[in-house]
Amino acid sequence: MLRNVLTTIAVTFIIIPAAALLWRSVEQNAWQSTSVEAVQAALFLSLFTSFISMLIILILGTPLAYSLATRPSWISAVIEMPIVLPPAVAGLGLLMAFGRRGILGRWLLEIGVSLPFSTAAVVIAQIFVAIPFFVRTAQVGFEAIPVTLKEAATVDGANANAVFRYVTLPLAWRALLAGMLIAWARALGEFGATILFAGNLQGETQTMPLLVFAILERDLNAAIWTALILVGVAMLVVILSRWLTSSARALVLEADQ
Amino acid sequence: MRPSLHLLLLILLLLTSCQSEPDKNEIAVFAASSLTDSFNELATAFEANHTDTEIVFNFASSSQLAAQILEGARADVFASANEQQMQLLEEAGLVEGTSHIFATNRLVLITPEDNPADIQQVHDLARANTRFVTAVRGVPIREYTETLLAEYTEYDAIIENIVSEEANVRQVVLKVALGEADAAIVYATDVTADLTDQIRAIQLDAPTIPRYHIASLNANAFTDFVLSDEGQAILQKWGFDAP
Repeated sequence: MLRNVLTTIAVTFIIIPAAALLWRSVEQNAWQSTSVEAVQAALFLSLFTSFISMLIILILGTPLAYSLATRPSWISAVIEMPIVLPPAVAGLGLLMAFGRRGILGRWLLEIGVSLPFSTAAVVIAQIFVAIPFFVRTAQVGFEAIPVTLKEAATVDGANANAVFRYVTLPLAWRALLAGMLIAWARALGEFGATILFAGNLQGETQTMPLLVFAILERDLNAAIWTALILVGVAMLVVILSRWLTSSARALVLEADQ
Repeated sequence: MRPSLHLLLLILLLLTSCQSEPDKNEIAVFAASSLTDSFNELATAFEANHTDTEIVFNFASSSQLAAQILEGARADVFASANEQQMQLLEEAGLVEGTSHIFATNRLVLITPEDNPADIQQVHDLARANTRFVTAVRGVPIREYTETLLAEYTEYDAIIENIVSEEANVRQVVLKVALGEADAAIVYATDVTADLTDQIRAIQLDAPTIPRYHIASLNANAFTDFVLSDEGQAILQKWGFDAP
């Protein structure tokens, strides 16, 4: 009885903010008075930057996750740091590293590259905060593959590349995809590090979360509308990644038998 | 299950007890971010005279504060950096009595200490590749900056040079202090003693005079204190001019 009450409170607490957004948007006909141009620009920028971020995360993160799965190392703790770091700290750190007076930024400036306030800065911030989510999920996926399977392939004459290509990847791709989805969602929602490091300008650095924050006081309807799109994306990502991880587990179990 | 109910009740009890200490009155002051330093000192002086009262602050852009109050945030005092945001609350019938102008400010052109883009006057902001930073539209400093720049023939070129629109004037100042932006137009009072070694300020002989408005939203003594001689002296110490 009590458990039911507490469960209901918890579930309601999580549902209410999203429901309130939906309610207000219907009540005020938010879509009619929204400044479409800003929402479109932010939506496009968010999709574009998160796509580039995902590409780089996949290229850099997959070998890393595989190494960590085969040879556990203290590095995994370091990799997970951005997950628990407050976004403002991440933004400040990126500024100190890549800002015009930063450790690397100073050097970049000499060859004519200035990152702050650029779309590239948005991508850097997204990669920094999202890559741990991908590496963590991918690593679990790689680890779930029984060593016996890989050993069997090796005994049958497959070299390391062939084992990776024909055994590991087919069994781990769902985990990789699930990791990509979670990382993508994190990149799409990135706010604190972006506003500090990349600034806020329509079409250049103003992604959807920044738009929600920047126009809140001037155009509440546009903010609500943008927020609703982000809520929808979040729902979709959660459902998809749950399906992917559960079927990945099933696939590995099947292969093991 | 029993212990978890007790735990939940205990947590709720703790939360409500931080909300309202029975022996202390709380005055919630929503103030423009440019008032951060001066209002903190005003609060210390006020609390010294009213030991039973505690001032709690919410500093942000005046437009964001007005939006929060219109959405139902509990505020006892609103101090705005311009008239428009105060009018929004007056039109909504939230202001008790009338609002008062309690201080004025001046606009300055700021650059990082080393002035990498060699900005000496407003005209220089129009130079290609100058990184000019300001606040989001609706924030008072943005409106004052727009009014000032409208007097210049280079207006379009300067607006083109905006690299970022920040949430409030203090964030604008930060971007210049860090050396990320080349220049900004902010209030003279934003260049506080702590920042003089990071920022160069160029006085502007501008006709635009920022005026700060204050109003009580619920009866309280803090608004009167800001308007009193003692309050005015503290504001002037931080560089504000008398209304």
